[in-house]
Amino acid sequence: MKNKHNYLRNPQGTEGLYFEEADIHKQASSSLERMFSNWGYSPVKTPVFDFYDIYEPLLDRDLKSNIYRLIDRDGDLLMLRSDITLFLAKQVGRVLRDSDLPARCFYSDTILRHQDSEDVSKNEFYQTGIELIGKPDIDGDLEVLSLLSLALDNYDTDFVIHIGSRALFDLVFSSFSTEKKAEIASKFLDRNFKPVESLLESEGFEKSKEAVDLFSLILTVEEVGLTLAKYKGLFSVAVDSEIDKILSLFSQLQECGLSHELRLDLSELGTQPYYTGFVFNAYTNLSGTAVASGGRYDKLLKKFGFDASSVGFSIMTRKLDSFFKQSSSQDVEKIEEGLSFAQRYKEAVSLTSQGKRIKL
Amino acid sequence: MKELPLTIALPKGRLQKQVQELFAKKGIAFDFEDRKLVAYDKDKQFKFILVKNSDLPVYLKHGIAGLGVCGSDVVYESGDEFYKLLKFSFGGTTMCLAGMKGCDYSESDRKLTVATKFTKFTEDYYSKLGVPVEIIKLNGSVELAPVLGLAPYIVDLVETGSTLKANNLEIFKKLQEISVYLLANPAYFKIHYKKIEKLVEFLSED
Repeated sequence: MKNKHNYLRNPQGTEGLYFEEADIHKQASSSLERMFSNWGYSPVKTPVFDFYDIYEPLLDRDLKSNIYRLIDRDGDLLMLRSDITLFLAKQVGRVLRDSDLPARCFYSDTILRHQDSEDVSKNEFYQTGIELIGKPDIDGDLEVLSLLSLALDNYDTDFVIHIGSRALFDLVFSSFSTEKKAEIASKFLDRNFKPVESLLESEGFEKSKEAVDLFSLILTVEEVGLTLAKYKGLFSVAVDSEIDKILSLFSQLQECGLSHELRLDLSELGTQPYYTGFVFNAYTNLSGTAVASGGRYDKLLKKFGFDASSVGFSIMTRKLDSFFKQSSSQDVEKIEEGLSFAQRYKEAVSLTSQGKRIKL
Repeated sequence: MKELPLTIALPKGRLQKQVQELFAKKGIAFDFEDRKLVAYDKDKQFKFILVKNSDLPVYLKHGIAGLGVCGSDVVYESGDEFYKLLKFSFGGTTMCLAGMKGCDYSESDRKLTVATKFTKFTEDYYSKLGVPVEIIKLNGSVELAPVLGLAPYIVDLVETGSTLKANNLEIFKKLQEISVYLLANPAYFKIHYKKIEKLVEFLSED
């Protein structure tokens, strides 16, 4: 017998789904897709691989080390789709014109990148999400966040959505070099605030303590108004204006009455280097990592030759399949045995025409 | 979000006892009865799980335990990243390079052969220095390696140095201070941040 070991395992970076597991995954994805379609979003499919060189400057160190590269027949270096947002950013520039904006699209696809065999907690092979292109105002942010909350309603568990602002971070630390900002951001992401205060002081930054306090804040919707307003007048006019934007975002989100808890968490800065505006992650109990993430990236599409703003999110659907609310209409009925095939076939046709699922 | 007890993973052994003592000193008692690996405090505010030291990051990464008490050496070896919420005053130790007493040691670009449990740490440490290193992985009694001639050097944790002394070994270089931290899975922290921040304040030893 050939090496049985290789029949029993899959290479790192891919996953297959079969039978009941695949059925639930498909139902959950279809339910999300239906919802996005009802809200005016059109489906898009991105290529499975593309030229590596065009994405290379946009890949952070982690992503670079995890992507799969291959060489085509002409000797060009290619990469497998490891980030749908990046691949989509290039494609929309090819098909959209200014007159098409704002454009709304959704995707439901696999991503292919290396994942440590022990690190099943990431489980990010399947992603479903939306992109809202050419809507640079707060309405775009609100639309995406409220749709994320609605999408998460498909699952029978509670979520909290933590919202941060990359724009606020960039404005507060505008005097720092890109490398220094990356160092500060990385410490904030780890909620490791003490070293940042010393770092800021050593750089002669005047409001070190206030800046660290600000980015360590986690506030409920009710707390945002009072607490955040205290930081106005401390940094710059541009920072004040960004704080006003955040206050307005939270005030309007509160008015929408979304079903999941929202929090302002300024240590959320997005792990991808292309974020420019607000960023967010959704969490649930026992997930280990975020189950959905997104934000605004207004300069990404320009890097591919199409100058339009963009905002969106991705849901790591495999992390949530076990929570999917299945409706009873999704149960499969077994056609009564003992009847002839023709009788069973006719009954099956009648039941499926009523939207039921059957098994002969 | 449902209010559940905070789940804290503790490593079996001395650290477990020290954490138990710290909680008890603050008025929260718990005990692992009859070899059980799960315990609660009286008010069921906390669920404690007892795991092998090196497995602790695995439970934490998967969110099975939201919080954990662990040394920075174990976390580094796991390659995982957690929020470091609190540094404890106990459990501190030093990662050292050691070898036979009187052995000629000099750090140059010559290859070092090192026996250690801490392969990732050793590789990364010497790679940063530009020193090539050949690593022999051992799981325990590392001090035997120079004594029996398996490797001239070891990288290991040293607390009092008495094991080294007993085996005629000496420290050549202190590589890094190791501390014990209260750690949090980032997603778990986000969900339960209010309760966790209260716990951190409660456990602060000042």
